[in-house]
Amino acid sequence: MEVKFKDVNYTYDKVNYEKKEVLKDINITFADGKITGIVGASGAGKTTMLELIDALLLPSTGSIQVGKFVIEKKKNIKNINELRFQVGLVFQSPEEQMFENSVRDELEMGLKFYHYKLDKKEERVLDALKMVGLDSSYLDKNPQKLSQGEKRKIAIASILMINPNVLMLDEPTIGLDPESKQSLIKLLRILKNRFHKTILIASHDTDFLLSIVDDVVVLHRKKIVMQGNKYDVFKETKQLKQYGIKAPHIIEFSNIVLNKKNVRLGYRDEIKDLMKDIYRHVK
Amino acid sequence: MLNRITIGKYVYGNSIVHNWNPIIKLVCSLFYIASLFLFSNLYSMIFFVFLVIFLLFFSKISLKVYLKVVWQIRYILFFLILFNCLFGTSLSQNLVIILQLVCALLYSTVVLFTTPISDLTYAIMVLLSPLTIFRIPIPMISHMIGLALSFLSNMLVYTNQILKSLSARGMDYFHCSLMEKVKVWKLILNLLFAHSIQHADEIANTMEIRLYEIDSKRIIFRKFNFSYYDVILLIFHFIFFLL
Repeated sequence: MEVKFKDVNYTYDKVNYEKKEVLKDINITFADGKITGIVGASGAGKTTMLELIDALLLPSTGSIQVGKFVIEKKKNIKNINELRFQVGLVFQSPEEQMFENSVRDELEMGLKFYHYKLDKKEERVLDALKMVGLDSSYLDKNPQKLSQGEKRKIAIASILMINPNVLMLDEPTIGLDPESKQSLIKLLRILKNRFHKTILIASHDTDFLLSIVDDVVVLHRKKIVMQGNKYDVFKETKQLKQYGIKAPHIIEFSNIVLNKKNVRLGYRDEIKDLMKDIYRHVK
Repeated sequence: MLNRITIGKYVYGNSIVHNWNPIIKLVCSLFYIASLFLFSNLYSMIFFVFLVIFLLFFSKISLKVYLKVVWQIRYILFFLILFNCLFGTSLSQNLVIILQLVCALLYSTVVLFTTPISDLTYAIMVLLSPLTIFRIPIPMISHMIGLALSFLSNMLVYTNQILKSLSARGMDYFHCSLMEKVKVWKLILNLLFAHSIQHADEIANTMEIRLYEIDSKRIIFRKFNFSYYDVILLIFHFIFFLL
């Protein structure tokens, strides 16, 4: 499902009714079946962008098209739940998404809200848990008592339960150990390659983004300042630094080698591939 | 969704009202509210309304914000008028009651909007300090009031996030039936209760890490001076009260 921003501006009123501009002149299309990373310094408008797609916020001007739905300020969206059934958003703090007393109820909650009837509910619950790397022993645990990383996995699983066409993740790597990060990368690859989901990830973790996304959008002071293929964007390390973003270590290393030794290693997604390149070169 | 709720919020500014001494502000508001409810004459209300308008004007905060605050108590005012009419209260008496409520609300709102919570806590501590003779732990009580006020805005932010999260999961509070709204509130209250306990625990730990001791004497980092404006304001309120 394609997501299209057309001349979107978003401002909100502060307590004293002063206008605070968060997004300005946003024109972008998130292609169907692709993973796009949204990067930017804190307060650049990443989360706002995701909340606009889920119609949790309405654009001040302009419109957002998500499949057949058009989100505009002055237009009431018919069947808003139908839109949210197509778009899944995993929030930055998973604690805000835990409402029930057991993981099983937590996972089934979305389906209940959407009045979704499912014959093989149990099977789907187990599948969702398995996809995020957890087993059936978690079903009866209290989600509030799990660790930060486990809570995040449950939050992702509960969104996977409703099987949205567009999946949005806000800072998904916070609180995840390296192993969990790897399993998240694996899961996102499956969702993209096997189920052709459109995935948007807002994150500061450029190393994580490099290993998973196809395209990158850079937000700086309310505007989109860079967009395109991940290598084209991330190789501009100096420019990214100006925007308060740290380029991925792999790209930085390749750039240093190129500048100091004049050796072109090329850009790789993962460190093991880069190591292979270095080994090949040294040999 | 709940961004516009203004309870316990400080609005940054550099107006005369912002710069008034918090102790004077608190004393004046007590004088004002006390004299407001002692008078029930329509003509005397003109002075009270004038004084509150004077404060609103000099606080340099948009009038819209104050109107929003008054708008939040519209149902209370409506039912008050309704009950008064049922019991045969005259129109002028009704007007006085409404003006008393609105003026008291606006005055206290000006004080809350223009005084940071830390300053307010300090003012409460100074004003209640004579009670320490009776071994009442005033510094602790004032600190608790300060924490409770800051807690309130934190809870509002958290409630807003929960509402957003529920909307994302298919339960939009603003587009659901009354029964579903009850369900949403049940979920929100459950989470808020758990969150507030957790948050209180975190605050307690933070205070302990920062070597906060209940029994030791508290010192104030910021120094508050009395200016001419403060004295004039206090005298003005005092005369108003005596009159």
